[in-house]
Amino acid sequence: MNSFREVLRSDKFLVTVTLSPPKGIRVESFLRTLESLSGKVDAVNLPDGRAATIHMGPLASSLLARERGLEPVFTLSCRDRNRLALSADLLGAYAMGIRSVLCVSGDYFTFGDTVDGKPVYDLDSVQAIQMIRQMEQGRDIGGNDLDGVPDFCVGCVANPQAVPLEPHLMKLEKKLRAGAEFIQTLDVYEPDRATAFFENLRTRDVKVLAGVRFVTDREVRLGEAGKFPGNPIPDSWTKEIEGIREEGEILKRAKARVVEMLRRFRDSGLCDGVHLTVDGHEGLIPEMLQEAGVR
Amino acid sequence: MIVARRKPFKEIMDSLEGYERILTVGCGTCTAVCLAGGEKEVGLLSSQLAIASQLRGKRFKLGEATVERQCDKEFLQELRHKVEDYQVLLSLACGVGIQFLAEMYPQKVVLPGVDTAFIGSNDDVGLWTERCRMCNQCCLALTGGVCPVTMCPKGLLNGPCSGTREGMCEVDPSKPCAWRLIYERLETTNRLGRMKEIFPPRRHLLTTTPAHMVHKAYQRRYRAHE
Repeated sequence: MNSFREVLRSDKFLVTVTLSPPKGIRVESFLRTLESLSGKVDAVNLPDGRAATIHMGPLASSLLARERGLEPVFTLSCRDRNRLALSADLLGAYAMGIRSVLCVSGDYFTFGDTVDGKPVYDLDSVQAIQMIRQMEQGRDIGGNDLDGVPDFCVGCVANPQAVPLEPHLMKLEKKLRAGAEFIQTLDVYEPDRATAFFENLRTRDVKVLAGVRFVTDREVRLGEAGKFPGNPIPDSWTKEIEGIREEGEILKRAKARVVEMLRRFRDSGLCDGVHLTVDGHEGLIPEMLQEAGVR
Repeated sequence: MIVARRKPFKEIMDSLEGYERILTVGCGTCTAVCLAGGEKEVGLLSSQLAIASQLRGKRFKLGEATVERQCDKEFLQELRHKVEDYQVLLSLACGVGIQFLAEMYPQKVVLPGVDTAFIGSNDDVGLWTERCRMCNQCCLALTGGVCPVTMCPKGLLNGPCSGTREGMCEVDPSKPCAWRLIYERLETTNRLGRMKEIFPPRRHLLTTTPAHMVHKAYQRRYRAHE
């Protein structure tokens, strides 16, 4: 049985976290983060060239997470691999014990620090999900037989704040038809603008985790430089930390925002959990979850 | 039409190092329309080369010629006598024309004077936009006449990526998201049902390079098989 699928089927308010894998070969700090989250969250996402930057790949980082007792969500970006490479990595990951996968198109190269690379996008996320489900039927994307079949819990991404929303909902519908079991949304900063999205999914047989971001001056700077994919950080958030020099104060405010968002999503009944991104300050996650009363 | 951009002068000069007899060859079709390699641009580049050579204490032997199309042997043959006096043919045609010129005159050094950028529309004076990636499997019937392969930087076939911001593209926020345009076009023409269909993966075999095509009526002539 797929353990993350079991967790998704439970009634608990789910918490997953996107991690920043090492930029280099030193894993000590990453391992400390993993250990601090062990038993505190339901799964951790191991990104795949997040924001189009180079870091340790999702297979190695997923295995490290699994070794530390965490449920890894192996992220698979269509940006960097064609159908052969995607399939090869999926088979390898499953053989190594990875059971959950998140299919994404992938942030475009211009967000990253290696802008001249070749974008692949051989498949899109809908087609990647279809490909996985076909592998589970014993056939690869070319229709050739597989020796043993995987059983992945497959997730996808959506943007609740997208405008206009309708084309995004139509694509999401395709992802669900293709076989996505859970949705981890992009970071939501203005929940009032996202209500229609969540309402639309209320009666659907899919688990929805709302994206919540820990925003410090680092994220604001990335946004100003055009290097922050996803929804823009609202002015009200950036203004709150503008001009504050003391790091402790910035962190305090960022923490308060996250706690407020966690509470809001938990109390709203609009979603089944949250998907947190707390770059560089993951150690604060357990206390934020506790303070918000979600753990 | 094919859209190209004149290469920076320094790059052209660097590529001409060691040569002194240079024929600049323009193209009267696409690169003339996009103001990169027509008769006027040939004249301009030739004048620049003359000034630069004098400043360096040299005296290039420079010639100018512009043919109707460099991608057509018939027009390239017009140059057969003229090329004899030159070491270098500096072509201002698109990449097709440059290669064809080199093939036509293998004894000559053929150098590019432009960078070929895309095939696109002539939107207005001095303004061009890419519209087609030549994927050889046109899906415009299903996408309201807006090409997702070209107009979406990721070439996504099944809808917008999550990175769109207020309906604009995450890669270039000054441009509308292609899938927003597709949605609007299909809605206007009462064909939104088309957007619910899952597009299968693209057949990249159809874009294996170099592409080659024989018209049905000429298959016997070229001993080609369908």
